[in-house]
Amino acid sequence: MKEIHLHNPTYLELDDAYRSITQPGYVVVKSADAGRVIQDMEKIGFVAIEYASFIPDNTGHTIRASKGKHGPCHFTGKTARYTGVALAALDDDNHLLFKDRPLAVCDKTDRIFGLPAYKGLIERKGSVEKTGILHPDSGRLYADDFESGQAFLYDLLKSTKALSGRRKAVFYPGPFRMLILTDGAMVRRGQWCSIVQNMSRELIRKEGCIGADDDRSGQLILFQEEYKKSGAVCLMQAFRPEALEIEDVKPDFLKLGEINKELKARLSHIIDHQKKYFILIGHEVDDHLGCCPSQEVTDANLLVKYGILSSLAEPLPGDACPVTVYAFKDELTVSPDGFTGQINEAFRSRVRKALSSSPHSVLKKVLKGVLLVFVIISLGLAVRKCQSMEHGGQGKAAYEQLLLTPEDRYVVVLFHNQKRCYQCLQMEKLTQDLLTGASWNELGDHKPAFKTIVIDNPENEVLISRFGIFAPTLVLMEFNQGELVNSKKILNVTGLYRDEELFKEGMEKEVRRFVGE
Amino acid sequence: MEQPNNSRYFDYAASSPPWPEAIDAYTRNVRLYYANPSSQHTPGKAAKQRLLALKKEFCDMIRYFDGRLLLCASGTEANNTIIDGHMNMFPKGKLLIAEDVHESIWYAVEKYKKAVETIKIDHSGQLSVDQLEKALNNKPTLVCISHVCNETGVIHPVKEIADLCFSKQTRILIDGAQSVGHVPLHFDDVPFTYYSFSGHKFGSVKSTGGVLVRDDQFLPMLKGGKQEWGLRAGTEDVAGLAAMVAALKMSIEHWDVEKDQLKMLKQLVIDKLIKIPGLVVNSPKSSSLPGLLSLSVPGYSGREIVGALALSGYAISTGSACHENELAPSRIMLAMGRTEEEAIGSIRISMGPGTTGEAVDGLAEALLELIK
Repeated sequence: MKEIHLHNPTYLELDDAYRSITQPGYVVVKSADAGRVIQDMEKIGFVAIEYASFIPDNTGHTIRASKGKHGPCHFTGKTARYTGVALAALDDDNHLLFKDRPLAVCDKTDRIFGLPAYKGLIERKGSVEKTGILHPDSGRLYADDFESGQAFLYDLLKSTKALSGRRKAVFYPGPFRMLILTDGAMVRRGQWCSIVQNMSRELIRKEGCIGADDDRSGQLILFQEEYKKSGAVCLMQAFRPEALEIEDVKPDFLKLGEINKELKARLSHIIDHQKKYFILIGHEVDDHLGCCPSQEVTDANLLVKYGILSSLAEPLPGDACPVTVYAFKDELTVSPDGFTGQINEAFRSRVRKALSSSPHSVLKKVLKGVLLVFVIISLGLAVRKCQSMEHGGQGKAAYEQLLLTPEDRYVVVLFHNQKRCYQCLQMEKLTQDLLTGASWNELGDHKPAFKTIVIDNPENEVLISRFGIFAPTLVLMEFNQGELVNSKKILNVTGLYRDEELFKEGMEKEVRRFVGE
Repeated sequence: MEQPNNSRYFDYAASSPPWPEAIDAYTRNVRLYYANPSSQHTPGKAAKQRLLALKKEFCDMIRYFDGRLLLCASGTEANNTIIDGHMNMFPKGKLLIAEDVHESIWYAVEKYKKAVETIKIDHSGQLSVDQLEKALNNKPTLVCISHVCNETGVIHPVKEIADLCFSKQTRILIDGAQSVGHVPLHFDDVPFTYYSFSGHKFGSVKSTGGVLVRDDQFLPMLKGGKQEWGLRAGTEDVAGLAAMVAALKMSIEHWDVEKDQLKMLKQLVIDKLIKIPGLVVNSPKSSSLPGLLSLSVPGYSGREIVGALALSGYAISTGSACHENELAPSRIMLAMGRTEEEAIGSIRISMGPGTTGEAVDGLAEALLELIK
């Protein structure tokens, strides 16, 4: 069935309808209790939930929703960019989309973003040719994004206060699960929220919200407060830890030697930073039908099995990607309100010891040493080669790839990976902030432009090797008639990304020196 | 509750003794949810909600999330509904039917003579996937196969076959009468269009069954009501579904233990009977149902053996229970390349949770006594 109409359905009737519609089918529901229906739809796994008729008629609201995604993930380099009015939007599959920043998504998600509900809110782009094929271990992509994205969001909002002024209650029907506004206000789908009036107008106009025409009061929940209180679980979907998975086995610390390096780094990080848990998104790699196959999830589940970690999985609606909270064994305690964590220092020190003394660590150290010598020699040779190389031929390629105009003489280029990390996003934000300042106008045609280059993109290979780029890096370039005539890597500033003032100060000095000021 | 003595019962493939839990679920639900689920009053609405909750539970257990469960009163009704319903909706439709399907599908070969092509099975009862792939080029509109052959217990690679049909955008009906409750099922992995099943084959009560449907491209066989989304008229059997849910739950819970036990018992029967001259084991050792064994005893008729063993209290069947009153050799045995003598002499021994090693010994002795 492509279309099912229901009137005041129960949860089970909606569930039955969900199973009955074919993709890309949809359900249209008339109900006097839109909030309850939307929340039920969300639990079942419907996506692209929206008001079908904007003005509720006398029989209640009309809500339209589509069936969720189904089947395994395929990545062909699609990206989605949120273009609505909020600072960030969280979709039904825990993709945290920042306004105007493209996010790599799988084809299933791309298809969902192509539904009419997302029209005007998501800009879809990408093809194999343009962005390259993403790493097949896509789980890491999302696992990193969900937590690190929230850390980034918190950094942006930590000193922001709720906007003052007259407030209004608005009801957000979707299609996103949540919007996070510029003051940190969380606008949850299917609930009334309290919003400053100016902002509510925008939400009503562009995001399909409904304003209250009575004096009901909506809730004001700020992301920065919730994040500070409970960390990244604050954005998880009605987190109801139904089952805490702890294997009743003696911990086998040797298993720590078998896990991948990303998970090792993650475990070290949570020990170093006294974090109570970490979150991974995705299925185990062997689950060929699963969403976002992830080696980290596979290895983390291995550690659960061998008594190192415990895990809490969120109940999955439909075919949503699993969200799992991991913590060291016995550190999590489940309560009806969620969970609490208690750090066990003795256990953690045993983990740390095992992480640093895996069975082959001595051999690894020797090999690392040999490799390091090899890399140093290679780098030396590469630098000499670069120095002896004319800027000409490859400079032309740079000019074309950066899509510069003849007026662009000085350019600040950020090389970044397809998978964005917090440091790289912060470097981009701060550099862009700096370069849009009015003080640069006095430089006239010496005012530098800002461009980005994706490191993983095969078509950028020449540029990448030309500058010897391995990680997110800022490079200053000077062009003359389309030829690259001078360049400089900015190395001493990038480490300052956590301190906005220092970063901008250092960056400004570097840029002004480069343009000959 | 009085429990029957089913230790000499070797005909689980024809019908399994119901799980006590299934009977409990049936009686509880028939008492509590007596109202018509289509009625708009409170008891009717309660019955409707119960019906939906049970459907969800059933589908979740077999990881079937993207289609509907259409209740029927038997596996036969389910198969007839899909085939006739399909041909009624698409009068120019073409059927591709495997040679080892149950009669409730095979009837279509006669009924829609000009529109049917068959898929061969080999000496071990396996479907020729290559032939199926070639036959799909003739653009059939519906492919019909069994998940598990009811006579030989051969398990077919339904995922591979359904994937193939899916890639050619051809609908497929899989008869799961012998598989639901007997083999692990994860249907989020198998892109079938229709999958039929019968409740009493896995320990539910009689007159229960259904078909999992992923489209509605067939005309209803039973008309006169809007039940089941207009695809099958008639009041839904809430209690019957409750019995199926309970039976499926029990089957799944016992599966791991049962399968090893049944494999062992099956081997025990073969080891004891192998001394019968000319005995043919029709069920392949691998990829066949652990509790189902098909044998051919040349020189004897299956019917004769069944009758003689019944006098000793043992219940087995010929190739298929539905053939009991026919003298003709088993169609499936002939399709497997058995001689007419072997086909006439085929018997089916099918075991389940109540089967014991002692009973197997007794059956083998009785059979050897009969044949010596």
